Amino acid sequence: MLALVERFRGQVFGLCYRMLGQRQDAEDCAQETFVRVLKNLHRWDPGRDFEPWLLAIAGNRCRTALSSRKRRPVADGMVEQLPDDAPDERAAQHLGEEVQLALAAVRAEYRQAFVLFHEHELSYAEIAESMSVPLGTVKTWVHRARKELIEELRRRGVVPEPRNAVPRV
Amino acid sequence: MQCHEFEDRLHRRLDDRQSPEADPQLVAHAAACEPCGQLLIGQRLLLAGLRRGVKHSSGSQLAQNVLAGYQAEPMEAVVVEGSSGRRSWQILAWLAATAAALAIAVSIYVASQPGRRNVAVSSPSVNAVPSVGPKTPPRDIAHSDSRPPGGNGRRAHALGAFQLLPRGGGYGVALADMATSSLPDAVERMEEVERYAPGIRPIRVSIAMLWNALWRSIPGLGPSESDPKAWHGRMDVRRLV
Repeated sequence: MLALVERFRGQVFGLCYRMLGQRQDAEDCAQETFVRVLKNLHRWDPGRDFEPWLLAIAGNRCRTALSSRKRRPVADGMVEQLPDDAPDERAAQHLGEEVQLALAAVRAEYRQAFVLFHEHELSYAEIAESMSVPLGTVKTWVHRARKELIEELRRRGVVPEPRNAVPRV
Repeated sequence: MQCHEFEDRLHRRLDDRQSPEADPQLVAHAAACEPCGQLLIGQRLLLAGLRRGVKHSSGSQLAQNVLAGYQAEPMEAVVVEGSSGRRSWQILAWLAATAAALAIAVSIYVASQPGRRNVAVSSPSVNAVPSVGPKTPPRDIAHSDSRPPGGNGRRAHALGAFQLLPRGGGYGVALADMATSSLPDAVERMEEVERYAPGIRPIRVSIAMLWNALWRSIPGLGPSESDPKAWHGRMDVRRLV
């Protein structure tokens, strides 16, 4: 049991942090996820990969937490500073924080699909199964997430605006 | 290459987990078109920022907390089981109420069909009856045919309306008789049953409400112009609720 938690805590905490943007919330959510997983372990089909199933539960917990957060507003646009190991990584850390802030600005479904695809490297089929939506929907969500994230990064000055407003053809 | 083609191609490369910069056509278009070039830079920065990843915090307590939460699970399971059991019971009750209401509606519809009259009248089969009675205690149906015409004969006649239908246009009268006496009575007599099974209240209320609604729509039996509040066959739903 503890080995399972140790083995997957990084993935679960990572998704929760990406979805919720706050360390304490992410830890609580990760804990709830593992408790739920252990309770429902008998429902897991051993013929299927464990990780998508686990991340599906984590995603559901995150969305539940987000919906309860809507009823209980918190400080907006806040990303916690995680401890930095090397000072020379400051620029990279800044970029990571900006991406995290941009992620907070897109819809939860887009965010979850995007993070599962690009960070957890699940296939579209696995994401579709874990989020219980058609594969095409996941693809659309990921594409929209990319576009909206770049727009958000542009608004935040991370991605430079085109100098000439040349219409795209 | 058009800009929308550039964008589609960029997404395809990313979907295939291939670097966009490794595609010469994409790079060539990005070099020639500033907005697309910025889009390509934006994608690179986005994925670089994402690769920065999330550092694990001091989650050493996570395993212990999970264990504690898991051990506290049985009490929670009882609560969940109780609420889900109650929910499933409510669904069952409403399903039963809907089924009973449908049975009444179908019976009335079948009875009101002109083409069916002869069949129903000529057939003495008792099997045609059961769908009419909503949860009526079986003893009432059994007694209805055995009781003498006098005394409580009205009810007996009404409950056996489909067998005892008068020939030649008396169907409506029989139906009205059944509706004005037996069904309201049957529903009200369910109060006795309800003492032992309080859960049937929604069923009883549903039947009463449906019956009143149906009855309102039958010409001649709904509220009359002279006294809109009083009409035959009405059940006092407010009293039930």
